[in-house]
Amino acid sequence: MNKITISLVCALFSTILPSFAQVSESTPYENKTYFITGVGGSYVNVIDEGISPLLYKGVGGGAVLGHYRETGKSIAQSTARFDFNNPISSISGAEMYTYRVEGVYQHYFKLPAQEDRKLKIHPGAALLGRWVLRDHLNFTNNSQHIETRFSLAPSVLLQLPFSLFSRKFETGIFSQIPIITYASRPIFASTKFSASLNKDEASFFDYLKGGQVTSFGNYFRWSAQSYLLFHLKNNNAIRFDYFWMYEDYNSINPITTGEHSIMLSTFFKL
Amino acid sequence: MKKIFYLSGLLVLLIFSNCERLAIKEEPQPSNLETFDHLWNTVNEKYSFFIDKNIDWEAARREFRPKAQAARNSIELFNTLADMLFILEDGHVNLSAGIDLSRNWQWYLDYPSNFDFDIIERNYLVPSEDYQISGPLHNTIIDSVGYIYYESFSSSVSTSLLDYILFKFLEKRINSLEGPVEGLIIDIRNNGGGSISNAFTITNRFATERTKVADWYYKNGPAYDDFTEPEEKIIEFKGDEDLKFNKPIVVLMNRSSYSSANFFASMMSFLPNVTLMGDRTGGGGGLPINNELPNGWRYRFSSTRTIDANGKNIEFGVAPDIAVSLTDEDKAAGVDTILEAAISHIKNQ
Repeated sequence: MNKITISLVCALFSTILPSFAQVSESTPYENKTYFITGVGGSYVNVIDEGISPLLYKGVGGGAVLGHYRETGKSIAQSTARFDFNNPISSISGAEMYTYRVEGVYQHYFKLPAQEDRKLKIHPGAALLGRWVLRDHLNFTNNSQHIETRFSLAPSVLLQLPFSLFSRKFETGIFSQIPIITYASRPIFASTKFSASLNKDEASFFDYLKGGQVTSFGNYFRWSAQSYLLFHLKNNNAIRFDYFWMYEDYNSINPITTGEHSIMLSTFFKL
Repeated sequence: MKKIFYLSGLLVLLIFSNCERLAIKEEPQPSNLETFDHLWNTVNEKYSFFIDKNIDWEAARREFRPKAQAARNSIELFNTLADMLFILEDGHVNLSAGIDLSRNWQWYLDYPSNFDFDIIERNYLVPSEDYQISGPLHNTIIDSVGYIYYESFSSSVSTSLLDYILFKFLEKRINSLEGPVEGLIIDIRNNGGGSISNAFTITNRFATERTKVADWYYKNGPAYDDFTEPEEKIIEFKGDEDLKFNKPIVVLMNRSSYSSANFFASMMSFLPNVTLMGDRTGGGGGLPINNELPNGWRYRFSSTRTIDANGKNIEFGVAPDIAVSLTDEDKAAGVDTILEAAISHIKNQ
């Protein structure tokens, strides 16, 4: 199953990538590079059947650091986001804390056909990494559930620059749906990982081992980042982001998550 | 017009990207059968002692499912689920609903208590000049024998605290009356368990060399025999090297010594200078895990097996090397038969 999935992914990328190469080389373009910092609030819905069949939902906060580079041929954005939430079950009244770190690298290719259009559609690919700790405050031996994900996803960026009151704005959406994912979850009836058995203290890499390569059918994720960018006169910018993610992993203990974050970020031109 | 079209397109994408609640089930209003089935299925797949205890869980389903369906209110449903869990005969299995806590405590209720702290306190601890309550450890010296009473493994014990108590027991100048002790009694009677890490802290303090004491097996699949490869449990000395305790040690236990106390007794039995005395421990050899039912009730059950280094499953308790019972005559006279036997045992070595 995994070999077939990997072969399909390779085949898919080998057919897509040549089309990315047909980019414009004629127009001179001023490269833009920004350093991103942002803070904001977040909201999470989660049903982790390794913990409970109940829906936990709650608010929290987060921060984002990133790098954005746009050239005549491509757009690349890398971000690292940290979120803390306090989901509560309205049925049991129980609480958990969730700590989430997510790293995303996205690379988009500017197609020549898009140059003169107002709404530009840039195809690309994204690498997504995600580490989550859920700490259930009312449990004892199995209070802490940790999981990791690494995904490869075709990605699309919709970009719509516009002017309003003589000011330059831009709105758009980054969106990804992974086609192949490496996912780890605690073993069936514990918070332990297979890789960490026989160790008093699990090392960082124990959280990465013992996972499985998965794809559609067992794993589905759709994430999107909608934004409104306001260009400042000093070449810096302010961006208002709305991150959204839905994830469904049909593992031995299925987990379904919906996450929302609103971030206000500053773009410092480098 | 085009602008409106594009912006509408973006808006539609934005709206669709927020619809995960269509896929994430809204909070359920479960029927009695949904609640029953969730409990039965989870225990069926994750409980660790079906084979060891020869439990017919399918028969339990046949018997209790119709009763759950017929339950007219939450109290009747709770009692039905509690009755079903009772047949697991496991002190680590509880259903908690706020109105009640289901339990099977026959592992000690069916046996004599063999312990009365009032006797210990009034006749052994308080009369002693050396009596201290060091953190969670009541300790003193009785007839040249060190005595430690540990009530619950939920109370944290540190290696430095144990170093201090042993310093007190081993140094003559600290104990002007009775001098260095001839041995040590660790009393874990009525200790119902707590954190397993405290059991390791104490055992490691008395370990002489690196010793394997047990294998833990974690449930890792839905079949009754789906377990991980063994996780070896090792003890080795941790503490002040100048205060290693090589004198005789007696661990006092009874049927109310459960869970972490049970594991502690098992680990201590692998030390060459240790004698287990009293009654068999109550058992509790699996780490319990928690979960919730669709109606919000919380429950827990064992999800691991512990096999000691001699191949014995400690779910069924740890047997004493020397069985001693607290006699009614001694109890009436304010004498702890088991403690007296431990003192004699140490002094006769």
